[in-house]
Amino acid sequence: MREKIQEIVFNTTKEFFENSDYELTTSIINNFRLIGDSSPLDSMGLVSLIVEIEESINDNFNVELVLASEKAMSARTSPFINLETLIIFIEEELKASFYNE
Amino acid sequence: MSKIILITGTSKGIGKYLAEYYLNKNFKVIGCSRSNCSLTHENYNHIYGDVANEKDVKKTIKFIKTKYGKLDILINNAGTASMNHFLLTPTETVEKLFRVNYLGTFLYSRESAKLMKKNKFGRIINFTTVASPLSLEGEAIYSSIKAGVEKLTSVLSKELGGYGITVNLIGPTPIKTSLMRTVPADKVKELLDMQVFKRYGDFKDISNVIDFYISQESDFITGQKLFLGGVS
Repeated sequence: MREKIQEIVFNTTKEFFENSDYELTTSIINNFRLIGDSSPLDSMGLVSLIVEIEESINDNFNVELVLASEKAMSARTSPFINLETLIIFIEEELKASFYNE
Repeated sequence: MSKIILITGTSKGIGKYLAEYYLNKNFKVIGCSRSNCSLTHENYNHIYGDVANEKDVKKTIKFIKTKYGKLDILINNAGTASMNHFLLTPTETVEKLFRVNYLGTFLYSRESAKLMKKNKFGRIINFTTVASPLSLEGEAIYSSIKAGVEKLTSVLSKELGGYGITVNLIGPTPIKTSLMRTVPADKVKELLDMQVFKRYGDFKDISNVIDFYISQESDFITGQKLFLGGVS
């Protein structure tokens, strides 16, 4: 499952940068920073990218996740640090979603 | 392509009127409510669900995305009121009013905006009440929750403006709907006397304001509230 999530997240991120004014200064890899000084995104850019990734995940897995959940916001380590932390968080959320069905 | 409009609370009252009004204008209308809806029209789709239930809201937006691929307008009409003296207001009433009036507006605005932003166009219309600026006795909970919707609208207009989405408010006066049935006649008269025009509002007074807000030319108008009847 993780490979598929990674592929979706990477592709969505790539498309996001192609279709926005944000400059892609590094490769899209696991430790691609989403927040902090080394991220190419400002706060609005992060919001927009998270919304795009959420939509792609929901469409591909036919689920209705909300990535900016209370769990995500209150986690000791934010899932929005880099793409890898986000991918791991999405995998956990997907598993929980399938388990609850 | 026709405009796609989502209206919450279309089983009766203002919501039902607005659904019929925009169907007559050749819009594609999606309505939602928990209770049965008698509307039938080739351009009307009804989704049953609770406006305060995140899953129900996402189900509605997913339906719109799948069927139409876009959403142009959201009218957060669903609402409920309750008139009580503050000292006699049950906690359950506060929770119910908050869920329908505030949480429903929040959830539908959030999920709709995600779809609207893809098209760089959107119009969100929220509902407040004249009970808010008039600080009516007996309406502490309803009016304060609607005041929250007013502030939500104001902030959303700033956060969503960059996506081409406008967010505005309408504040109707009393209109003869089921919402008003529980309000004593002397209280209604007292309220009407506070208006410049001392009459009940009509449904067309509301569609008139919404037509203005949703027009293509109103792309410079956001974060505004307009009260009917001369209340300010």
